[in-house]
Amino acid sequence: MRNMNCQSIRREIEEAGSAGFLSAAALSHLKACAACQTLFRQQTSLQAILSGLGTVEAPGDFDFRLRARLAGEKRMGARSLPFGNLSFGLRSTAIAAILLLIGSTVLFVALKSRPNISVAGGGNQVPPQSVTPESNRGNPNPINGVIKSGADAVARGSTEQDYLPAGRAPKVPGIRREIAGVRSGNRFGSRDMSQKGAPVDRLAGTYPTAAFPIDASYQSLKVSVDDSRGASRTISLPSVSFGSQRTLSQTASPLLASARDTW
Amino acid sequence: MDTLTTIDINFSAALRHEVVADPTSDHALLEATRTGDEDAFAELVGRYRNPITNYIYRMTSDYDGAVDLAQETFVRVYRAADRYQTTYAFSTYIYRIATNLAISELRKRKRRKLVSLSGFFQSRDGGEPEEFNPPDLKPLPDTELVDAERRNAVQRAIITLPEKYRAPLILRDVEGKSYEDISRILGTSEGTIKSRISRARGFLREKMTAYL
Repeated sequence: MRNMNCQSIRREIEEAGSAGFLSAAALSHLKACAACQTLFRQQTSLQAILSGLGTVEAPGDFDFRLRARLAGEKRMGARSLPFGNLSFGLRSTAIAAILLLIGSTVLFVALKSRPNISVAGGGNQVPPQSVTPESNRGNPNPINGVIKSGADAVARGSTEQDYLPAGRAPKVPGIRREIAGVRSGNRFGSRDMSQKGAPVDRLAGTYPTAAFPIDASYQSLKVSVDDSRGASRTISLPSVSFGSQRTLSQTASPLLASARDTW
Repeated sequence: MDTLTTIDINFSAALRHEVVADPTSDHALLEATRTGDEDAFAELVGRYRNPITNYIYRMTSDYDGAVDLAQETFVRVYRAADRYQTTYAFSTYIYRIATNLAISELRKRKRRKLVSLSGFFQSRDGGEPEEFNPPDLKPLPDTELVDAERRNAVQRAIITLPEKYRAPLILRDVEGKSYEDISRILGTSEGTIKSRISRARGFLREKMTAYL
């Protein structure tokens, strides 16, 4: 009961303020309770010190400095963005929108300036100088002459064979698409070769495996050094072999070389 | 009678009505500032420059920094004059701005561990800087000496309080604001404010036992 009373009295002391007005019941309690009396005395003294701290005054040139600062802000505001008067949130949104616009413009321009890449089905990028597969039949290097979309070819019922020179393998799995940019004035043409196999260079009847000959002589490298006083010296360097070259040279027939050991 | 009816219906509308009624009120001055009346703004500055400087100084214990922040407070008031709503008292509004600036300055200081030139003299316990008091050469009577020492001690003790206790204590015991105003300034309930002030006083009593 006494504790409850002390709690309520202390709360009253806390809220009494610097004047320290207490109710009659609280005052009578203070006479009997030393702890609450001490608290009241300390509280009153503390509040007296706090309220007596006094006011620190602003310097004499406060107004002048403030006016100068505001004038500076106005000048800066006149030169700054037109939405400088907006709130922070709106200003941030406006800046973000402008940055987004600039970014998307840059991205758009960058994409426009890159060579066009047509994929299957993109038949709208066929330039006017396109030729039909029939006219390209004799052309060994179709990249230089034909700009044609695969979808268009499919639509016309033509096959891969239409695009290949005679004797070429029709299709090499794994090669999905070959893109060749052909510059025409300031524009780029494109060629979709996704339906066409890559040409394989092969000597007829010689190398049935994936091996192909390396035309490199198996000779050592000799370096002559002359010191301009008549003394010369020749240094012979051993030939460098990457293994496969040695294998090829030491093997009687390349047909015997397994595909694993050769390039 | 009309005013009373208006107050019953709409508090903010009543305040707007009051703006028209009292041309020297804070709201009226800010309204005039909004229309470009520089003198009205100068009047507002004249009213609040000392209390705001004092409040920020008690919060930060750095006079030069407090003056700068007080100026920043008025700049923000000026900038936001168009958006100001007369829902609450202008003093609540300006103290809220000042509180936010002071707290953000204290947090910046904590991060940077910077001490301003005027607050360069550290407290004895190595905590926050204490205010710079150049020695007064004329002899002081004992009572003044004791009072000055007590004021310094309480300022040092205040600066050691956590921010959430410091602001309500200064607003209540130094600035003399009501609990209601403090709760509006700090955006916290009155109960929380009372509890924080009580705890802050408890801290101060412990630290200043020798002076009480």
